[in-house]
Amino acid sequence: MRIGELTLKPFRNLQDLHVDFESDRELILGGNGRGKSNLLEAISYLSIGKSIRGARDREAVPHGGKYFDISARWHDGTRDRQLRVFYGQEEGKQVFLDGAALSRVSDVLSLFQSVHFSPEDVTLVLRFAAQRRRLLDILICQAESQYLHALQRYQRILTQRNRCLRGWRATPGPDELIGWDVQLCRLGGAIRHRRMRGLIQLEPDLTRFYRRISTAQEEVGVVYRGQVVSELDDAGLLSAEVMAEEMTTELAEYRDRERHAGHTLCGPHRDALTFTLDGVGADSYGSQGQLKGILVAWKMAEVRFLEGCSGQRPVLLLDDVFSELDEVRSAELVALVEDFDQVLLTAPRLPGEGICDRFSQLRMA
Amino acid sequence: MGPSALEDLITAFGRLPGIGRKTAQRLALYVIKAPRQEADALASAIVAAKDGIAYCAKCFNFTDRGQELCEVCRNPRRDGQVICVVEEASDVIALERSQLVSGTYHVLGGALSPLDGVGPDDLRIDELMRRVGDGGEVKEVILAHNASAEGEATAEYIYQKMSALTKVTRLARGLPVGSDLDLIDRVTLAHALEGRQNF
Repeated sequence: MRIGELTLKPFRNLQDLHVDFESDRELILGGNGRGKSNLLEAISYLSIGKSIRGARDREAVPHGGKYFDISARWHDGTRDRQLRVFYGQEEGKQVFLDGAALSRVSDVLSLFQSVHFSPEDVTLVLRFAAQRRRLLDILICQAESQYLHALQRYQRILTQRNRCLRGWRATPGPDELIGWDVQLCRLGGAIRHRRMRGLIQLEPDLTRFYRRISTAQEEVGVVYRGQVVSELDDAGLLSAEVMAEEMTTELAEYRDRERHAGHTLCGPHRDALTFTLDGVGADSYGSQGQLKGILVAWKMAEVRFLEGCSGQRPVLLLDDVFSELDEVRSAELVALVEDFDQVLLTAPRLPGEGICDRFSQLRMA
Repeated sequence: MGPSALEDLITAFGRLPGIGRKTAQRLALYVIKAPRQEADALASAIVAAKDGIAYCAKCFNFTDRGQELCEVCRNPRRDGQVICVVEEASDVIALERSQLVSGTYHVLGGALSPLDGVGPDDLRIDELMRRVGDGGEVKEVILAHNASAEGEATAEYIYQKMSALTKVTRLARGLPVGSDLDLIDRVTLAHALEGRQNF
């Protein structure tokens, strides 16, 4: 997959920008506040239909403006296509493929695919459990729109069930929960199963990429709900149905505590997903450099994962990736990206020589 | 801004479900321009419907005021051993149009939704239990709920309560007839694949 042209009219601080990405190795240069990160964020808008930073749509509208408008020409492996994401404060959000509006914004997920790395995610994503789950969820949604549907449905049922639990003390009898519990467990089992399967696919690439960009000898790993993912394989993975049964048992154990807490205490919305370095939790013990290494390696593994699902290699967007990396690691990273179809990098100034000559440069005024 | 009577009419139309401001305005202007008789007919049809329609004492479907039972429940040819459970009386209208249900109905009056303050006691579930429990005549309860989370939760709740008393079935989920496979959304396709059958 390749992005050819990008037009922002406007998006955040970029009032009217037209870029032609002529090469597959593009280095976007510009001082602070020039909009390099915004440019990459706009590209990922075209992939997931929302802000990869987790911002609201209206926050991407320029100050004093009423809308943003992102459009791009991209190559899907067989032909050139046009994609446009428009958001207006009155009109709402709409996505157009080759000029025709998609009936749902989420239909954009399976079209233009990209993977986005941002240094601000290093702390945010790796230190907080909910953000790590979000990282995995967005990825699986990009691969499978059905997963998004399951997540949305799960969330709806969870909200209904929590309301039920809060009202419980007033109305006697746990009967009312029955209807919600069955669905919650069925979907919860399916979500856990899909997450596990995704992690089993991702983990070998994560380890491999991390080994290349890390100068130390430590080994990275992933643990989901107490299970070390590298010790699992597809054959040993419990089915979604069995996981649903497990969750039913779990819910029964939590029943009394939930009655007091007034909300649902177990399920995929609370599952622990942790990265480890030599078996120790990276969120508590990893250094900033190590965490960055994990996230970069994870993002590269994401590209492989999506490629495995769709047969198309997504565009890799690396925002300010060289900061905090020493020369050896930077060079290793540049060597690694050789294997990817299209890579867009940003940097505030020219990085070392070995990097510049492999990339064509794009300066932002 | 027009005369206040016009404004009131626009507001009144605008309160109807599915009617936005623009449509409300178009409807109001139509009524103003229409002959006096037409406006009278519309007004009296609304009032007559409001006054003349009651709920069936057995299944809670619509019925004419003064009639204890609805048309379906009064019909001796309908199979009283089968009860088709729906959320709203409007669902009965859709099912009756299809002429596929030979049994009777039971209208719940909504679906479970704690967020909207709707619990089992707010639906006509006890009434359904009584119908099924009375004399053991009911051989099958068909749950024809909506495919929403709330519809599913309601069906699940009723199933848990009723499966010991009688046979409980639910509608299949799958491809709409006459549609092209490539236009079906993936979730529907997934349901259809899950529920696939042997030839």
